[in-house]
Amino acid sequence: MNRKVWIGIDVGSITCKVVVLDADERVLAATYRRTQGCVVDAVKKGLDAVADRLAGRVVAGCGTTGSARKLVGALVGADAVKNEITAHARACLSLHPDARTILEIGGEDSKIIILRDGIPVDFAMNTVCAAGTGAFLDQLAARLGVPVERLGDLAAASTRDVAIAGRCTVFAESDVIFKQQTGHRIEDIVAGACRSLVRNYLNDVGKGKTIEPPALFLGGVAANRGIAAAFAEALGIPVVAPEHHRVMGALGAALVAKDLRLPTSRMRDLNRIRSSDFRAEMLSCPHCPNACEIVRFVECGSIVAYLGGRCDRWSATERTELARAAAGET
Amino acid sequence: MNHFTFSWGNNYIAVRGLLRSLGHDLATPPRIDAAIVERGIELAHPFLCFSGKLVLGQLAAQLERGDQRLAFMSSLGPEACRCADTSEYLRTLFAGYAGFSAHRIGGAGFGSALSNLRSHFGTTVRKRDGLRAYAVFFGKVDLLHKVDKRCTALRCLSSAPEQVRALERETIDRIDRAAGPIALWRVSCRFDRAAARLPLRDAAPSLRIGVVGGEHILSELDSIMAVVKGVAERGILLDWRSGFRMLARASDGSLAPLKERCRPYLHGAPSTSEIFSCAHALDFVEEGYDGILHVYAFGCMPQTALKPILQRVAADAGVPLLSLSIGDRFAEEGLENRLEAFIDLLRARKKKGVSR
Repeated sequence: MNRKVWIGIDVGSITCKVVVLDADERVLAATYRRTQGCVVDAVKKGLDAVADRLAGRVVAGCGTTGSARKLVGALVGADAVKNEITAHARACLSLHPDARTILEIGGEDSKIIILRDGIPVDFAMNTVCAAGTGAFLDQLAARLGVPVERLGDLAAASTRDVAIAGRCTVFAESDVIFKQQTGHRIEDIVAGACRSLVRNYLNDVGKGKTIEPPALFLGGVAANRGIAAAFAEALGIPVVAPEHHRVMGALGAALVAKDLRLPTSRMRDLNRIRSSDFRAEMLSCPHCPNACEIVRFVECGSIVAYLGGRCDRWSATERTELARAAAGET
Repeated sequence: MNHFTFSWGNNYIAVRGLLRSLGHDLATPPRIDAAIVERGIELAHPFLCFSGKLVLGQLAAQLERGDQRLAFMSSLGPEACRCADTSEYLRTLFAGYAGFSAHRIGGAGFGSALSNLRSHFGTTVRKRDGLRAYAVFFGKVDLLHKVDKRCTALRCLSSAPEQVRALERETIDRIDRAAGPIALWRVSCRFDRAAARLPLRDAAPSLRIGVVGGEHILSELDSIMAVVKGVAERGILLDWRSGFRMLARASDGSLAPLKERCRPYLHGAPSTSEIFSCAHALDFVEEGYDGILHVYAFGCMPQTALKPILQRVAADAGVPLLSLSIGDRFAEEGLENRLEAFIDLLRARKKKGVSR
């Protein structure tokens, strides 16, 4: 039996996902949890949750992705640090090689990736607005006093169209308040909000893109049946939330690490990661008026790495091997 | 009397060369920092683009330091965007500063440029002095452009990028100190010799990316373009046509062939900025570049209007395009994210042998 496994970690603005893959690229374990602002703790807990599946196995590679990929890469000693667009595309092309469109909605960002003939050919991410993201749904759920996980079921029970403004989260909330005041059912309001989120996404992220089936819907928001249905209605094509849709970024990061075919992984021992007091500190570079923000990683009172800066000052003189890997230079 | 201007990267050096030829000097513009950004945002009309806000922040910082006269290098063309000729707006905005005056020192042709010089320095400026001043100005603009482009290419091609950066810094200092066309020619020759001696990598560039976009952004070396140009050290050849150089040389005559070239895509009365960006994108497509990177300031209307046009150019040619809007958020993470994904995409296409 091949005892090798590959670990993928995706830490975004809201959630932390950890996946363990075997040599046949099957998912042995997957976890999904909210970071609640504590990235290091969330990663430690995520790794703890999959630890039993690592017993008797050899970690042959580790990849990180998501907005905290560099920090987490330095924490765990990642072999590969990759942006989430490439990571999602890599995972989808492995599990669903015929896919032509990826719609992904995360906590605070959303993206579209166009695939053709087995490679990504175009992509876009949201720019100045988070109205078409999970943050919008979180706000809506809080406003309506229901758990965000229930929104999909509520939308599915809708019987009547209710129009909600989709251009801006604040205006959408005003609309929701007004619809509540005018006696609309909560199910209809939620379904209207789902359609407004989809409208926003397609007008911003999806603008100018040729969206063709098979279309995969990824990210935590894909669990919401109301959004998937609104996408299918707006696009006129089936939109499928595949298995592992919530952890596809982590899965892609693990595959990117596997692609490196390294003889041994640099990943640190799990016990060492668990006991680490690793933390990131910000400092403002004093050497020129650009005042670049530099991230300093500290562990057990010692500086282990620096990241950031527009010139080579920190990379050339003070950045360590660990941080070089975290910057994606492996 | 103090003269000052704003900086689009190192281009203030060319303006300083012009002023020095006339016996005046120019204060070095302050580098852009958080305080300047905040001051610019506070002063500017909300609809002014991000780069315009940076310019206002820089001007305010110099005025508050006691500098009084603004030497303002505006586009010579008649169709520049509002960022390129705001001297009237600046006079109104800074009217409260005693002794402040703002003047264009360019113009559509030598006649109007000389007239603008005289409005700034007085009628004693002779035609011969004006000609020499503009010769120095254009000489410095061209040499700065050459050094910037060549050094960015060398950061990809050379195995010693730190030597490239040192050569770039040293040459820019020499350009600033050069007093006339002959001195500039010597700086240019010396740069060529030093660049030719730099050790080269064995490998050819893995990708060639053409960069188009807002003139002020493309000329900006201190902030965001430093991140964009950083990808050169990953073995990627970046190329762009200098915005400031184009603006400084733009005239009805020079724009006409470019307009004609863009006719299938640009309609109505496009701005100079749109014409340049569209024409350069078409050049990059024709020259076989692997991808086009469109960089523009958030809030820049001509460049925002150009985005769907460039999408059409790219779609017609089958060349990937990435539009990066700068200034809508300050974190570099999103910028790096998109750049990295774009490079991955181009590499995957190349590996797969995707043709246009």
